[in-house]
Order: sequence, then C-alpha cells, then structure tokens
Amino acid sequence: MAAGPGFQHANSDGTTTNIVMSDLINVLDTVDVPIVVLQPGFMLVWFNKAAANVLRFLPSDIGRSSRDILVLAGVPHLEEQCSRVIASGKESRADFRDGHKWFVVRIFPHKKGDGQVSSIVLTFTNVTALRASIDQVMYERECTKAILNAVSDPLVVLGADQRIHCGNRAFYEMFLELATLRTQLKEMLEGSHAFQPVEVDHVFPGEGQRTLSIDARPLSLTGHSERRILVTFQDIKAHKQAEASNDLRAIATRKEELRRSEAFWLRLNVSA
Amino acid sequence: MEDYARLDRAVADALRETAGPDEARVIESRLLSQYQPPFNMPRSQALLLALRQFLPAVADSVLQRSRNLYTASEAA
Repeated sequence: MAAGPGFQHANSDGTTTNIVMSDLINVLDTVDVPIVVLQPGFMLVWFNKAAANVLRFLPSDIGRSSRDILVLAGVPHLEEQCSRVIASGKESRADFRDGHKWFVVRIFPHKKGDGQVSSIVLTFTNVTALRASIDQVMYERECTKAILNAVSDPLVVLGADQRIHCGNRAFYEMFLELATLRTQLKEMLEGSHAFQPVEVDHVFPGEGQRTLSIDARPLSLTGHSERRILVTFQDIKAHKQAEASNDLRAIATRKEELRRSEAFWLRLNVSA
Repeated sequence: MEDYARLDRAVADALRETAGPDEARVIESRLLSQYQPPFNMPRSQALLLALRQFLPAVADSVLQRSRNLYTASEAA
C-alpha cells in the first residue's frame, strides 16, 4: 500500500524506514491477491491493498509479530512452516480458513543477493469457490450413482473407446460378455448406424438361463466433445416365456378351430 | 509398482502441472477427505482413482503426465 504502511524495512536498531519502491508497490497494490511480507523473526513488514481489503490488515499491524495479528495467528503452524521455508529455501503451502472463505497460503522465501532468506512472502489465494465446486461435483456424482444403483436393470456407460466408464450395481452383479456387440457399438459411435436391440441368452451361475435385451444410445453433453454410450440391459426372460405361452395357446386355439371345422364339414358330407 | 515414493512425487507433480499448484492442493485434500478407496492403497493411487471417479477429464491428463514423470524419474 503506497500511501498506507508502504514497504517498510526494520533496521537493526528497531527503527523502520520506508524503502522507496513506489512503482513496485503500486504494481503490487493492483494485484487482487493478498500479499504479506514477514521478516524472518515473523514480524510484519508490508502488505498490499488486497490484504487490507480482504483480510483486514491495518497500518498499525506493521512491526507486530505474526502471532499478535489475528489473521496470521489463524494460519495453522505458520511460524513452524516459515522456519522450515527459511531453513530449506523452498516454498510451502498451507490451508487457511477466514470465516466462510478458504485460502491456500503460499509461503515463499525472498532471498537477498547472497542467497540468504531476508524475508518471507505470503500470498493468500481464495479457493472457496473451487472447494465448493469440487464438493458439489462429488455430491452430484454420488447422487447419480445412488440413483443408478437403485435401478434394478443393469446399466453401464461406455467411453468412445468402448471401455466401461461406470456401471450400476445390477450391471456388476450381472456380468456379461460384450464382445459380440463391439461392431454395433462402433458403428453407432461413428454415426453410421443406430443401435438395434440385441437379445442374448446367457447362463448365470445360480440363476440359470436368462434372456437379456441389450440396447444402447449415444450420450452427448453440450460443450463436451467426449462421446459416451449408455448401454441398458433388460431381463426379458419372463416376457419371452409369456410370448411362448401365448404362442402355444394360439396354436391350441387354431387347432381347435380346425378340428371343429373338419367336424362340421364331415357332418355336412354325411348328411348330404 | 516398483517405487511408491517416486509414484507419489510423479502424481503430485502431474496434478500441480495440470490443475495449478493451489488448485492441486484443494483437489487432493477434498477428494481424499471424501473418497473411500475399496481397500487400503497408497495415497497417490487412491488419488488417481478418486480423480477417475469424480473428475475424469482431469484424471486423463494427470494419469498421462504421471506416467511420463514416473518413467522419466526412473531414467534419471
């Protein structure tokens, strides 16, 4: 902050003098990321405008120890981390929460010309939205998974390379050899043919023979070039049995009609 | 896997390069705090699985870069 605390330097006699760096300070004040500078003794020597606005640093904080400044005291193990950074010369990062906001604090050594660490630079990157978006993604995917698992028919989503992207519980419980479908799936992905449902008879251990109707449809999402396929498995054994039963009934009915017809003509011929 | 420490470094570096250093820290902490691996496994492998499950678009890039970094560190 050019007009506020400025970039101050603590002399060996404890006094502070402004170092003329107004251009650099003006530049740093345009950065909307809070930047704070500590001396190796953890004394605050400078902060930019964003630090004042976002983290409520005050000009009167200059010269105070980090542990006496509310915000810095809230950064877990800050002094330990700073000590490690000074000793190793390598930057470090820490998580920090300020009310409803979350920050990643980058702890960076500032070295003098002789390579000695002269101060510690802290930057505070606001990651509140990123954290929330990741949590939301995880929540929504878990919800989707729970919904898919509640579906009793097997469902599986394949990538463009026909690898399983995800499947529901029923699918994993009802493993099926998909090799015979590859040609059809490939043609559908290429857009040359729509997928025609395929009926597959398969013997499942403990459950006997089942007839599955396998269908597939392309999944596309606006703004995503990746192509996926939703494959559905419908157990149609009962339906097939009902169809067969109906067929038998129809045959029996037809036979009965023929028999009556033959008897009628027979009676007609006899009476004639 | 031959060297889990090397894998950890490769995956961590790959995620930092892919998502950015601050973002990588957030992604790793959020995923690993909520992801339940099916069995005990090294942190980097759990992170790759969690990425695959929750952020598949990021996972592909990280996996590819991890593979390159792991192989390169072996040669070095």
